[in-house]
Amino acid sequence: MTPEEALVATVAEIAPEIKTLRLSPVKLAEAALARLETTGRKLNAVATLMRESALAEARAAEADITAGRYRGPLHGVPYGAKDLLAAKGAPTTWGAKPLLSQKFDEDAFVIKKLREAGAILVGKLAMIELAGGMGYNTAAASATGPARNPWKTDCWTCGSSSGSGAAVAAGLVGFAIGSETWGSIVCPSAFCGITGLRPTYGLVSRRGAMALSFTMDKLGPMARSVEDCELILEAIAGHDSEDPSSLSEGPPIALPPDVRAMRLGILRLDPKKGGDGEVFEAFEAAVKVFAGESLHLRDAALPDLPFEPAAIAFITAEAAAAFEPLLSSGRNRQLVDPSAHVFPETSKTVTGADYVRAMQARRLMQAEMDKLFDTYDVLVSPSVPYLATKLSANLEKALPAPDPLGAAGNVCGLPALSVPCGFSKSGLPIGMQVVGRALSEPKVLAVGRLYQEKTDWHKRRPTL
Amino acid sequence: MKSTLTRRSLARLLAAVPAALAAPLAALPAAEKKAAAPALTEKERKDIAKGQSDLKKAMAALRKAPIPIGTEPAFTFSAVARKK
Repeated sequence: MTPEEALVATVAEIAPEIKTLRLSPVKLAEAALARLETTGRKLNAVATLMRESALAEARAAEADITAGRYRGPLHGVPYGAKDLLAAKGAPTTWGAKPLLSQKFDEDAFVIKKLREAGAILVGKLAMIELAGGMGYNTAAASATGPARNPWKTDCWTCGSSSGSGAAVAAGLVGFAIGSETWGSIVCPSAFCGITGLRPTYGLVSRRGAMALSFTMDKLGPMARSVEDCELILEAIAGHDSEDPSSLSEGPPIALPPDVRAMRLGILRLDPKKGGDGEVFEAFEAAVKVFAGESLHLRDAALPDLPFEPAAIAFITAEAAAAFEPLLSSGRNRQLVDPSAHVFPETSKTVTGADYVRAMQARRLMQAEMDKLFDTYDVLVSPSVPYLATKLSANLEKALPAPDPLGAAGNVCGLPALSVPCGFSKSGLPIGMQVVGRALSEPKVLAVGRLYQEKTDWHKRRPTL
Repeated sequence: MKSTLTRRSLARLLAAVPAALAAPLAALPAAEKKAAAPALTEKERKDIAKGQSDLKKAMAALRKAPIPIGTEPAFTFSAVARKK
């Protein structure tokens, strides 16, 4: 396998090549850096290249493996981190023009964990400014410009993990770390035709990551297969005593023995509320794949609770608190999107009482969602009811459909996996999400893995 | 033109003078901050009105939700809702 071939393969495929040194970690890192520099820049997917440190890490990995100190499947694999993760020695811009020179003295916890696993950080990846914390309405709301979708470069990647989505789809890195507060892993994974996992809230430490919404932010892997997401999750999950939200327990990573005994709740979206017909068709075809495998399928519905308003209350109030230094200094006016310029005024609409009310609602929502998962092991639904939008689109007009499952999952901190489940006639990817109870990653991943064993959507690569 | 300075506002102004003299540094930044705040453009005014309107609708939906009185807010949030 050549380094160029390895960059479009899965981690599970390239790991044995690296282990036996048929594939050199140094040559692989060089290839990734070259592609990030050329294709990555064209796609507006790159925030910072980590050339020197990456090559040093790759040389160390190669020396270790040569000496028989192979650490596991991520050893020597190049990856990118969304630019809201602190990396010592590099700028950490949070995708925001007023923070282009921001630096931190310490690596984020996930970067430390990945370094322990031997993965090579080759670059910081572009993102929507402040992960969209002050709202945004165009793909251009980023210090690095609008991220181009590798499948159709006049289309968007979705956000806010836009560079992570583009870089994985385009074969610039072996995998990437993204973050999700509401949709920021699931949507770019769907738009870019990759596999992304939003873990349970608290499963992956957020130390060293930008805080947008303290009670909704999660970090997770974006990769080319479910199997890769499992490998990466295994490396980054775990308790961190310095992150107050970090769970003391982790999920058993081993898959449950019998995926076919699982009960799948099929959550169909109402096309009248918006969406592209081809997405709904692809989803129905995916449901047939599960039916063909004799899984227990039943139609499901979400509890009638205000998930989206609660998510809006959390994000607005918590972002106003998290970004107070930026707001009080007026530097929010240097951000690209006009929504951010008026955020100090608009955010005041959410009162303290609204925030507490959302907290009360969250308790009910958690209980009701938990009850729902007594009936179903997982819910499956389209990741996003739309195909990738044009770069120039007004997002409010182009993506008007509600997202109750995204809101419910993020407000309650539930895991979600997005897998490719088809393509439009125009060649744009379509995603399906699998959502489970908190800490049910093994079930969610098992369903995704079964689907990828039976389909090959995740094996398709864009021509660039 | 009739003066807008009423007896009451004059009294307030006079009452504020000693405090301003006693703590001029504290008084100054507020005045500067106000002066430095850029005037809103017409588009920004519209954006604010729209943003506030959208948020008001969302918060109204939240207020209408049937949440029993006394429901304990999830102040310390954990995704793990119950022991399994």
